[in-house]
Amino acid sequence: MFAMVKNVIKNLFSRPSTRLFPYQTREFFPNVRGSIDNDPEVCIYCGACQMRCPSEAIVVNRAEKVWTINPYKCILCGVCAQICPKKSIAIHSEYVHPQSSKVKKIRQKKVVEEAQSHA
Amino acid sequence: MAKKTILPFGPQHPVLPEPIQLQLVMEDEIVVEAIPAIGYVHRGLEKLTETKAIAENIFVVERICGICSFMHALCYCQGIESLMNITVPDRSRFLRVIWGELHRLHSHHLWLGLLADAFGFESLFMQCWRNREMVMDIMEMTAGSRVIISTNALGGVRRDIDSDQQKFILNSLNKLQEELDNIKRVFSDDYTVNKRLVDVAVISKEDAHELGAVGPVMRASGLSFDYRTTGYAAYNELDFEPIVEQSGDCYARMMVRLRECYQSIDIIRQAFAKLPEGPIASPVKGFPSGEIATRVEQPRGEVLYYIKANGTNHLDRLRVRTPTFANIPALLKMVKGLTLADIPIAILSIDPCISCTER
Amino acid sequence: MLDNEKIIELQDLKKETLLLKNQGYRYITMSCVDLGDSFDLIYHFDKAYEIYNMRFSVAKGTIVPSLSDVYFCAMLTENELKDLFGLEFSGLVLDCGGNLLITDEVGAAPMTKQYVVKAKESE
Ligand code: SF4
Ligand code: SF4
Repeated sequence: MFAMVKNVIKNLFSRPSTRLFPYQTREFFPNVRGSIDNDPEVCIYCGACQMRCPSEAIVVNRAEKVWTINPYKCILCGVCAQICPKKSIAIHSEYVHPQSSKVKKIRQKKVVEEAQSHA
Repeated sequence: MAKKTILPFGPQHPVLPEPIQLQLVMEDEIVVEAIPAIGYVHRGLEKLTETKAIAENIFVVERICGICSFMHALCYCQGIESLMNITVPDRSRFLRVIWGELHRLHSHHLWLGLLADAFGFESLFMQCWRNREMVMDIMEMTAGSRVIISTNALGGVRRDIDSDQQKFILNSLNKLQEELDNIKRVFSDDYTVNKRLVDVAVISKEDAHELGAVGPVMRASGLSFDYRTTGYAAYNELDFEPIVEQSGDCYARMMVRLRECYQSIDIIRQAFAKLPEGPIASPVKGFPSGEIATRVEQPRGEVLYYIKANGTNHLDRLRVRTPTFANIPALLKMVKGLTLADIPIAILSIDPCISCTER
Repeated sequence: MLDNEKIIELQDLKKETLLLKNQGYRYITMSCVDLGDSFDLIYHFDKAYEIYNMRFSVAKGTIVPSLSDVYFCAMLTENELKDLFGLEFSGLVLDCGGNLLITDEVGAAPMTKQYVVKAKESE
């Protein structure tokens, strides 16, 4: 009985153990594997990441310099970032948000057009 | 003689985190026989491992089970490493022990919560899972994700634990131990909890051995078998004893897991005290060939990997015998003679992990 | 070749197993490997942390005697191999009829080498 009263008083005056979510968000630890992104300007489109990805989530088009990842296939193992020779793949700590359609992430090298560079 | 009724228990039932069905043959309120029906989450992962490269298989075997993913990867890596005669650096052996024991801690906390939920003690369930969150935070900090941590690699581990992280882990573990003391009192002494667990679903020492039970189910029946004592990874340099209880009922199985939580905390502290400096992975070249059967002690018991490699980058066969698979015959035996109200607790007491079982 | 392995004949299986049981061995599991036109069956046992393996090969289509009357727990493994490899066992104490793990739409023996996994059209 006494222990219960003690518990009741403690619970009345202590803060809640949960967070008030939309106002208070949890900080991620550094180095959390949340989502994968690529810098299209650093990448040399060698295709090493496509070869080594265990879930076949990355497709590299060498000729057109397009790098595509299907974030819903990616298992966030981090192998691609580890083996990339240019270290152009970055792992961000934000997770992929739920979406109503499976959108692929496309990274493409900006083509500097001849005409513009002459002008 | 009373009329026999067949009552399907599951695949969807409030106490079951995963789908399994037991067809209970009942005589009035008493179960006389149980017939298992599994296969609701069979994913064919053993077949998948034959098509993936050897290093990629680590990520496949980790997904056999979410709760003990690290140990699956550990067992697989140890098998391939001994086929290829790779010596793993000392530091990575200790790191493997640390992550392994963290997995045991969070698995047992999860189970303690589920057990509390099964006998209707909601707030205890919340407390267990709140404590588990501390372990999950450690996991997220050290490995980058909470459950499937992917830190094992052939030849060592992929991430290191630095001294700041060590301090954080040891502090969290101190806090966790205090919290454990609180919930241990409730689990071991509470009148209602004891009423639900003591002398329920007893399995004798002989039966446990004959039915091939493993892990806490086996140790709760008085058999001292813990594969960690053979000293894989760095367990040979750490000091611990298998935890054994004698009575073989649900209470004993609960106590084994509760005491193993303390044991895990102790092992992690020892491992940090002895953690040597040095590299964390050794280079791996070439492909394995030959056959091996390796074992590792998971939170639920001993797991066996049979690996057959043929010198190429693909395996001929990978066979996984998970602990829950071995505990199901014991479960079928222990539900005989129970009343219907005790069945949920009996099923939970083997810590069923159905995804493991069916792979 | 595994450590502690003994190669036996199919007809000695029951005898050898009874011998092991009397010596206090614990049944761990059995593994099946598809060798093309035959299966390799390996039985794993344990005693005091030592593993003991028994192996024999059977041609496809052979009926293997079940161990489930000696070790009841062999029943689950045998049912599993029946599903995944299409092996036949005689004297199973609890026969799930090839539906323990898989349903009929999967087709016969999905773990054998000649079974081809069909990928889904999406993606
Ligand atoms: S490995 Fe790196 S450089 Fe090569 S294609 Fe992938 S992202 Fe680009
Ligand atoms: S993180 Fe892993 S699964 Fe995801 S794209 Fe990179 S290699 Fe593939």
